Amino acid sequence: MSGQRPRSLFGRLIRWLIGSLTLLLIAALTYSATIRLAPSALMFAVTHRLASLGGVNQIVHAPRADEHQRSVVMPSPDFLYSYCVYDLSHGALRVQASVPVDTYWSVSAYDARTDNYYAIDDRSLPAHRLDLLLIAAQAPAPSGSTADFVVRSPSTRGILLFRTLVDRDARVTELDQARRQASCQSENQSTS
Amino acid sequence: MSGTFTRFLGCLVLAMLIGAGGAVFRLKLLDSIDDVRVGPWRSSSLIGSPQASPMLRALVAVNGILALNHAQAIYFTASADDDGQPLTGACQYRVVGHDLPARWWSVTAYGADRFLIPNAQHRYSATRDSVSRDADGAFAITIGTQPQPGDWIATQPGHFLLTLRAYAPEAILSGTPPSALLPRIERAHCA
Repeated sequence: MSGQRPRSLFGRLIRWLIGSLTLLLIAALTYSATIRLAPSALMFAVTHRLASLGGVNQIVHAPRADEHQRSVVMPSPDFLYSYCVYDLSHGALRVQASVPVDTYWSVSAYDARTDNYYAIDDRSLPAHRLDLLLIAAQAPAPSGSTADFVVRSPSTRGILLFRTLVDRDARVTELDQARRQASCQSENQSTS
Repeated sequence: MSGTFTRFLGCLVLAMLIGAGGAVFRLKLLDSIDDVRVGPWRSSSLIGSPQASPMLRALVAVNGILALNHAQAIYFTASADDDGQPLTGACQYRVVGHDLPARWWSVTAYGADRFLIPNAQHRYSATRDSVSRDADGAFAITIGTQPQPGDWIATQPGHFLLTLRAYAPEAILSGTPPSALLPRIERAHCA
């Protein structure tokens, strides 16, 4: 009996140590997995929320940001935002827009991991027109497209964000009208 | 046997909760996008970039999703003043500086929830196009809960953040670290 007691205590100590280390390992793995999965999960949530407001492969013109805008964190109150939640699983997306004069304007593309993999602004569009074809990463090169730019999206789904800087409040109406000329639609739809 | 399995399952769930909770705490409360530090301002040159580390990508996703990459814009965020004291609605501040070397810039206040701060005057930001400048080209923006004449951004009681946006930044601003001077955040007085 007296010979078993120390072994039992030692055994329990070893079991406790192994159990604690296992728990620590599981906690560390969960921590790492949460950090790695957070961007995709949050992007999925934002995409879902925005799509529920305006659909997929359609442009939506958000009102100018104020304290009531709670869809996306840290909006700038100095921009007019339009967005297009895209899904390329059924084909390419044609993006066309009229670019306003004398103010910052851009279109930026975000993949399912939140990476801003593409952006173009007004300085690169001296003709003040954007005509862009967005295709999936593995899609064959388009033939016969008249778009000026062809961009490959790393993921099938993502978000295009249009930013128009309101440099003076007096220009809000003019800039709002200009951004409403933009379109974002499935290539099949635009050519039919 | 059943008791051992239940204990094991309980410990497993506890460990996973600790891991996930730690990650959420890290991302929400220990926000530290701080590869680049200039005074109280923090930023990273890899925001929005495919080269961003998993941690930076997660921090940006939680605290500023859909940010532009470095080629288009730079975002600096401050949660403290020049003396390192947390920004609070109990104090009034002055953001003092000169035009940033960029095509356009702005300073915007956000609540701790990272949304715009409610105020009747809709004074959320001050921009390159809106601020007044003295003879030397310097601007001074008042930040506080009480309306002020001139350039004023509203805050609210409690903690808040300031974000400095610079679009089409020049090389002296987009370098790591930037050699351009950023505005100072001076605490004027506290209630």
